[in-house]
Amino acid sequence: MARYDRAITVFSPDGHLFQVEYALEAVRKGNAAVGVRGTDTVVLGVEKKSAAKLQDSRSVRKIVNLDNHIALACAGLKADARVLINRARIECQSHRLTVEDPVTVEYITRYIAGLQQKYTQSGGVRPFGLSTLIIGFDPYTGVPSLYQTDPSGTFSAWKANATGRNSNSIREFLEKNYKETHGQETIKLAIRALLEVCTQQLVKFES
Amino acid sequence: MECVFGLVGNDYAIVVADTSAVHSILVHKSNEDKIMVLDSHKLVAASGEPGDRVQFTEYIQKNVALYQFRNGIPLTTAAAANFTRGELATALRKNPYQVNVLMAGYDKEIGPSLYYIDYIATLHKVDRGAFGYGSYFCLAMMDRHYHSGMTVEEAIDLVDKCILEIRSRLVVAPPNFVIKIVDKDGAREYAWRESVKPDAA
Repeated sequence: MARYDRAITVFSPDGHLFQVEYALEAVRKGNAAVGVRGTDTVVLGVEKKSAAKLQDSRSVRKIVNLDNHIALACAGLKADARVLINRARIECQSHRLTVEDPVTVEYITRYIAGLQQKYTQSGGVRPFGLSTLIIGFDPYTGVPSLYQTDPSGTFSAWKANATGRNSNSIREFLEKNYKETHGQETIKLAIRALLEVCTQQLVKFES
Repeated sequence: MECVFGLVGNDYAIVVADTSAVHSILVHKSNEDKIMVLDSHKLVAASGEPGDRVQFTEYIQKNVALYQFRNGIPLTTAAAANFTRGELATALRKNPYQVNVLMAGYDKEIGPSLYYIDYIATLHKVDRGAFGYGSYFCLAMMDRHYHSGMTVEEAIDLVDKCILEIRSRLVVAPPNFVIKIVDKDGAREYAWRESVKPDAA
């Protein structure tokens, strides 16, 4: 089985892409991130690890803007995240330049997922070690959306989801407690979900 | 025939552009907005080849927006002006943009500023500037009446004097103008000066 770790372009006999699965392991070790969609609100929350005393915590941005109406949080290799986020930001502006329209949440999710997939089917590269949660509002209808991508390059829309450490417990909590909410209620649901697994201070963001 | 001019006041900058879209002897429309809002506190008034004008200013606008997302902080007016000049210079000896630009902006610590950037990538920081045939009249008017620290009302008065000169002395004077202003509250349209009612386009 160890033979198939070498190059990701190779399938294992039982149909696995081991590099992709190892990337998912890296995601599972990352900080928890949760996203919740309401009727008029969509929320991202991330677990904030206790910072080293001398570190300037303001320089550690865990939730970023891709455009005026789209935000992203991720779990996994933060260095890989920088690269992906940069490409996504360029694509957001490029889309505006060529078609004079802001991107939809689905478009940019599809773009990011496509990028992640490319790196599972090329020689000499490894997959991105992160799953992203992407939130935003449709530029014209104003409908809120939440999407998730993973290292394999699959993506789908969610009402609420979590990735990173203890994501299974958070997802169970969300499945039990999810209901259509709006405004502050959506934020509270996201906070409660994160509190299930963290005792530490949280970073919150509302779009 | 395209007239673009601007000036800097005590805590604002104003740019004015004509609004005719012309091809040879035909006027396509007379309500073409040639002053682009680059970001919340910057204006770019452009004149020149129409295709290049739109292409170039939109390209600059999207790159300025990208910088802001990447770095979490907007570009200063000086930085944006220098970036614009750089792009014009890079293209100059391959595929030049035939676009002249007056970039006006307001920065919190610096105040208002105006940059003159012509199509061969000349960059000057100025108090007042103008492009096109109208510049012969505008610069003369502004030289006569401009003083530093003008109020908005005085500046608009001077702008109207310039527009009057253009209308009365330039052989193919554009009929309509748009005035935009940028100050601490942001960049916005100030007024139109119309002598011919534009079509409903």
